Amino acid sequence: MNRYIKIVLIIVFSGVSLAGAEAQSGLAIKKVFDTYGKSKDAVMVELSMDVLQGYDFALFKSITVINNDAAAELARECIAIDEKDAKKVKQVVANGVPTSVYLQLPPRGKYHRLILYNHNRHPESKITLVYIETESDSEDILKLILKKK
Amino acid sequence: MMYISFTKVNQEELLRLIDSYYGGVTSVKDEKRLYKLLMHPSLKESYHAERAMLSYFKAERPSVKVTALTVLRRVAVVALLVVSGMFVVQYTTPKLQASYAYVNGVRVTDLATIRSEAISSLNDMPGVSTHINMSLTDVSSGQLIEEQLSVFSTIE
Repeated sequence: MNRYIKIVLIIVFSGVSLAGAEAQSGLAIKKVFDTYGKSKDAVMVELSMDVLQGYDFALFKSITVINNDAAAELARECIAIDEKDAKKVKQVVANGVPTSVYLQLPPRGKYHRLILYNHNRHPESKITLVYIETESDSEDILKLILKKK
Repeated sequence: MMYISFTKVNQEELLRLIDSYYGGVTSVKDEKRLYKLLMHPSLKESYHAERAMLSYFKAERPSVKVTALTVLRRVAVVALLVVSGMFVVQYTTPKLQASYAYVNGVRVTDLATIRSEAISSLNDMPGVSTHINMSLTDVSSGQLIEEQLSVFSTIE
């Protein structure tokens, strides 16, 4: 009987573990958040549904890293990987290096996903990486992002 | 009616088992064997007490058959209890705050601080600073998101 209880508990805990998988799992940009999210000169913010009530986003996660060329290079590499399966909405290139990239990812379940990346070099090097999950059509969210002031 | 005669070997075995039975050291298998020996027709006139005792306890003891269905039922009950327990824990324990920030490696959970830190990090972004200064004193989630996203909206 003890053996059966152990089997049941293993199955239950496995299910719980799978359910707890992170939002941007499967994306290369996760590495940027994991590597630099808690480092010095970095600000990482995650706003989830409990704060985003009434807004169109289900998840908003961003990281800003200052004066870190390695972080900028890693971000560019991760964007290059994630853009393979994505629709590139906009890209700005300066001196052959992408400074801004907007990606529309394939939906996962009921969530549409966006990645936004920007790298400012003046007065100091600052990269901003934003990951958004939304139940709304990502086209509508992009219109919100790209609206003129 | 034909029956196998009760041999001397059976007799010795019977006596040994009776001694063991009274000593309380018989196994279930021994008791079954003892009961079978005592039920031999040739012993009708003997061992009344022993026969009566074993017959009494045999009648009293319910036969328990553990089938595969019984095992599955027990497993299902255990699984149901575990899952129910998890739901109870999930809905009775207070939710952990899912929104957070890390600033220079230090975790921040105060929502107002989270918002202001995110806005502060964007202060140097072109086209955002004026808008952010105006909204620093009163920031909602929607404004925070719009201000972070405004970094991209200024790009032609």
